Amino acid sequence: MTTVTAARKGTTSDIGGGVAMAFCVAHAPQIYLMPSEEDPAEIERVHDGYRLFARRASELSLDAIFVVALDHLHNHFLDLVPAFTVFTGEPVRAEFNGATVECEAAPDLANSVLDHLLESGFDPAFSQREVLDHSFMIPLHFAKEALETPVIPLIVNAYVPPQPPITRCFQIGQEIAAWATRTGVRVGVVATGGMSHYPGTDRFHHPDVEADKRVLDWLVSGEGTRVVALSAAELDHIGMVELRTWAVALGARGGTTGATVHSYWDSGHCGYAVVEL
Amino acid sequence: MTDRLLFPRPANRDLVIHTVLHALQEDKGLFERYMEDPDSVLAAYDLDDDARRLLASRDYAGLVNRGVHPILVVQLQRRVEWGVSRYSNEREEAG
Repeated sequence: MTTVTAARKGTTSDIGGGVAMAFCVAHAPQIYLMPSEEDPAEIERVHDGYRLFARRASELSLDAIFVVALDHLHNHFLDLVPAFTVFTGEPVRAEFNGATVECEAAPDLANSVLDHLLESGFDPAFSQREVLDHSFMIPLHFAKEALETPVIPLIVNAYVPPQPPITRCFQIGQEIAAWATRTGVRVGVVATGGMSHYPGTDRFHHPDVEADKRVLDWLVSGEGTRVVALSAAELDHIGMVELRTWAVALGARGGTTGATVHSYWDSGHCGYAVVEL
Repeated sequence: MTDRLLFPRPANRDLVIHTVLHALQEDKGLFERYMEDPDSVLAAYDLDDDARRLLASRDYAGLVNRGVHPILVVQLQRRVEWGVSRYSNEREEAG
């Protein structure tokens, strides 16, 4: 069992451990590339959301932020496709289109949560050497200027069937919260992905905006657990295979707290959302 | 709702196609050679005639219709049409 030291800058012993914040944010390449056909003001609102989670983590004196994202068949490809992978290396490095972002890692905490998950009925993989893809790089690139908190990447298999059921994603979030409470570590969870989009398919220009609205309504009204009832086929059909990352954040926060939608925009190919749980 | 997933379970028969697409996104030199002379690059892979034709002609829709994973297809498309790569400049230069 890895020993955990919860004390870190700004953390006081009278502040209990747990999941003190969670965000769900988009990570579409266009948010970084900013092509001329997209509304720069709307993209800037997403960037603001990235900076917001970084600032919030500092305000809350968090020990670490779990960034829950995915692998677009770069690192794991079809060689070995774990349902969940905890990155335990250092530093956290992500790359996309000519740029790199590096963030402070929290390897002791990452190993501690890995141990906890293995002892709690989950079987995550781990990696000490993985250059994370744009699902990490884009949020962290814009958050970096305000980011003072170490990052623990959790990679969810969102795109290669058979993916973990969304219930399992919710449960691993619950287990991360249980670990944080037990160890006295204060963490945040930032899930990246979504909302509805169909990259590479003939539905690319037809995201399911109604499904986006339904999911946002559930989150705002404290009915986030309804997300967990979606089947793998339904998630695929509504263009929300990446909602699995959001389910981790929901599980970590309990799923029944009303969310704040900081921004949402139908870009014409993807619903860009910044949601605080 | 159709039975077929938009993001399907990759078929074993298409592993070589997926391998080619993955190599093209991870290896800058291979991608450049593919853009100059796709047939010579594809000659190194054990592809069936349909797969060879789809990859050589960059028939993105045809690849997806065959059951190739759309994420790998769109990454090739973005690399070709947008010049978007997966890596940093530093890693591309390193090879």
